Amino acid sequence: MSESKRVDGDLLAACRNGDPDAFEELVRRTQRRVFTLAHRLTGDRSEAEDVAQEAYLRVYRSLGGFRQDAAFETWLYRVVTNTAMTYLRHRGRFGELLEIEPAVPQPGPQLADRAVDRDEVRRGLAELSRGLRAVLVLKEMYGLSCREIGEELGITEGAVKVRLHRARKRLRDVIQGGTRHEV
Amino acid sequence: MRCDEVLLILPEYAGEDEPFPREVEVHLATCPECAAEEGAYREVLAHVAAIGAETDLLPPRFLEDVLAGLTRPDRVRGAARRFAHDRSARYVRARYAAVSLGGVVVGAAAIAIIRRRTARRAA
Repeated sequence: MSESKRVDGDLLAACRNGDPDAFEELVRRTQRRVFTLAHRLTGDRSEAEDVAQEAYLRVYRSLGGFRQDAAFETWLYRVVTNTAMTYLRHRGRFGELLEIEPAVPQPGPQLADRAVDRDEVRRGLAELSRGLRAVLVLKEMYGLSCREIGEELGITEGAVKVRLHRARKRLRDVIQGGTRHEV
Repeated sequence: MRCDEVLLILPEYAGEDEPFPREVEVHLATCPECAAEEGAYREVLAHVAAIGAETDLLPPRFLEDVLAGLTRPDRVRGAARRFAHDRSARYVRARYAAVSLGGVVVGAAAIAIIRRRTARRAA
């Protein structure tokens, strides 16, 4: 029930003061979004659970130094992303996040001729490489800026923009390709 | 601008607050096909954002495990504990390496001083 509530300044202040009930409430309010992001980045529910637990531990330990109440969610998502990057690096899978699919020229009928179904987009996202999906997820779903994404992935802002461009194009092409198969 | 040039640029600006360059705006205002393609990008990205609002079902006892892990690191799940252990093991190795390197530097400096003194006495 409290999942839908946002984390406000009062709750953050209580957490900083070491109130365990307040931190439990913070976890309750954010747990599904945190777990979902970890799942989207790792692609595995068990690994997502490990990443989410570790991320909350980091938040718990560093909350005292966090002062920008308005951007708490963004900060939280950055912690989760950073934790996921560290986790994947330890497992030798970080390269998957940095790889870029080659651009595939996609001539043919334009996507604009019809309405796009959300399930098609969901399937299209699943077909993107982990590297392209990560930048798209962080930008379009969690509102991180290109600079913030670059800092978390360890790449330049320009490289993030290139990947984002590639990811949007690729997603569009995948959805359009699906249409052609169905016809 | 030509349609193929505009279609190359569309993914860069789709979903961004930043406006299109003036010449792209002009083209979109006069080319229904490219304008429709731009609308399709916006539609796809709106779906992506909506999917982003969806959340996964949590694993059983997720909250309890998170809270237990804060105060009792020994109760953190297996892989997460190994993850933390990996980091601490790396930290210990780094400390040993730093201490060893320091020892080598001090030893080399001592040898150099002794050699210099020996050389002076011989002279």
